[in-house]
Amino acid sequence: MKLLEVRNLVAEVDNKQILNGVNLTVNAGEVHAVMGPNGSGKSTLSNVLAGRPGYEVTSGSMELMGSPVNGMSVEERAHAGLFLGFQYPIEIPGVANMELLKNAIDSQRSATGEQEIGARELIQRVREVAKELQFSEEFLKREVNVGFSGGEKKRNEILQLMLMQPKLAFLDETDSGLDIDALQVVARGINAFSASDNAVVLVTHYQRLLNHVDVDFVHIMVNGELVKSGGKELALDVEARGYAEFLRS
Amino acid sequence: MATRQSPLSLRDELLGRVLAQKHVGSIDGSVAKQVLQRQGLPIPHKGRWQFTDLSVIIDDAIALRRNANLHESSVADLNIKTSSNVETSLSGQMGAVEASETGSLIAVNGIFAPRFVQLKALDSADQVANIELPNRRQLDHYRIKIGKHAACSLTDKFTGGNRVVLCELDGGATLDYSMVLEPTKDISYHALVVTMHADSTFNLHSASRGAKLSCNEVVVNIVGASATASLSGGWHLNDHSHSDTHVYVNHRVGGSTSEQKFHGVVDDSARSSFTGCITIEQDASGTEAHLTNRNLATGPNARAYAQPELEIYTDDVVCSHGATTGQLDDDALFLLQSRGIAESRARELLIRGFLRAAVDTPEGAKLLSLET
Repeated sequence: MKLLEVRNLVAEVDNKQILNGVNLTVNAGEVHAVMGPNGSGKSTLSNVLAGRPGYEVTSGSMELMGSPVNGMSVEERAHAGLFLGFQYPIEIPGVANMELLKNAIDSQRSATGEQEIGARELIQRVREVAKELQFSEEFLKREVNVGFSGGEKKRNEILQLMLMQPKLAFLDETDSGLDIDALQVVARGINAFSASDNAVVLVTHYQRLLNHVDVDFVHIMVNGELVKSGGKELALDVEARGYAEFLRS
Repeated sequence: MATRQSPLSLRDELLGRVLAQKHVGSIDGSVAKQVLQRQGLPIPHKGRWQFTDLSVIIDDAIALRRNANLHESSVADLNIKTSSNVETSLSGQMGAVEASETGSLIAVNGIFAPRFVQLKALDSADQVANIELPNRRQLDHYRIKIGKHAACSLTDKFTGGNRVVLCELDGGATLDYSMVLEPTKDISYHALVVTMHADSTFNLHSASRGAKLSCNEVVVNIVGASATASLSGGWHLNDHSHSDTHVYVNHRVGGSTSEQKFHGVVDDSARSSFTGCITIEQDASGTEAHLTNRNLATGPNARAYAQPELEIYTDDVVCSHGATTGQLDDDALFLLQSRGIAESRARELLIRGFLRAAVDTPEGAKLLSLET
């Protein structure tokens, strides 16, 4: 089943064209990695897909689960099954982690006509996932990302991912700022989430996350385009030789 | 063609309007009048009073005096709730209304209030004293004393009118003051003046939804060493409501600490103003005092004004003051929406989070809908 189809996507930020015709198809059961040097457009692709204000699509198309994305609000894209993992998860003072999780899950359920999640069920589910991610329950009571280390913020993202169970997880540099132990925990979360009916797109600079997550496809992004696609060996090749050859071409 | 009165002539006219009233309350009205004559009223539409129409407050005080129920003759009539370790009495002569730091609106209340209520939390009581002031639209004047080493919890819900509360904290006393200014389409003038002696502790928790015109003055005079004052509060205004908050903390002796934290949200076409002033007097070395005021203007025509002030007349102090006015964080809004939360709900969550940082009592949380 096709979960995402991006065709000739051109987008700009502040009147500057960043994406220059991106093509990407993601099917259920697949794990993709998008790699590329700084400024190549990886984060822009993530933000455009999620509908962040200020990122304007000028041509091309995006479809989520077969439905056109253009015209959908940010939250409608989430309801359609998209989850964006943030490169820099920001702090939200005064809003507790559990409050965010309950509102997020209830919003998803409301969109599909389901009842709100009960407090007991929520706590039970959160505890299970938190344990898997070695996340102290104390963090769940705290304000969203406030006073969290870089690694804790990323683990919090994965916690949200695992609880919300989206169809497509688009994780923007989830591995940045992680030490090796935290990287393994995050990778375990991604592997636990990954299933035959969903898909993951990992946006990353480095190959090291791919040592812990099995990817099916690797794409190289340069100057706002996916210039080469291949298997896991492509990531190893980039790790050994850098992006120079793609930049030259 | 109508000509606009100058601020100075308007002030004189207002003063004349007050002094011409025949009604004089049971508080030492003559002394209050002297204070008012000596000090005069603030200049309307200027400085700290540019956001509140003084004439509206004064006219409302005069109207409340005319309509006052003068038949309430006992404490029971007033419906004040207290614990058994609080003594309550009604009326009496208490001397001049101190108005030197507060502006003279407190003196105006002193002139018109038909009676005053005196409450005292007994010295060194084993149990925390409780006081709950009645919520009624009247001209009220309370004088409250917290005895030595006594602890008192006071709830002051107010839905418009003209109320002055003067509190004195004896040595080692503690007062937890919950001030809840409920929304009203009437005029709301509320003043709280607290005098703190050595080793006393004062905690103010305030919350407000604004009014047609709402003016809220808080004055803390620290006159004893090692006193600790913590003042926090929040307001959430919408429609065309108004709130003008003035907080003055005066450190007159050294070795004391104070902290102010006020957060406000202004929506629709509402308007808020905050003036916060810390004064460290000459004999107050070794003081630590901080003030923060943060505002969110979330409505298309909302206005939030902030004026933090710091006056230091000695050395060896640690002080800070600051104010910000901005809008909701777009990045936070995007994060919440990306989790499927509708924009309106996401805004609500962010506003609640913002206010929770400054509102920490159940009463305040209820008024501002901050409960989860």
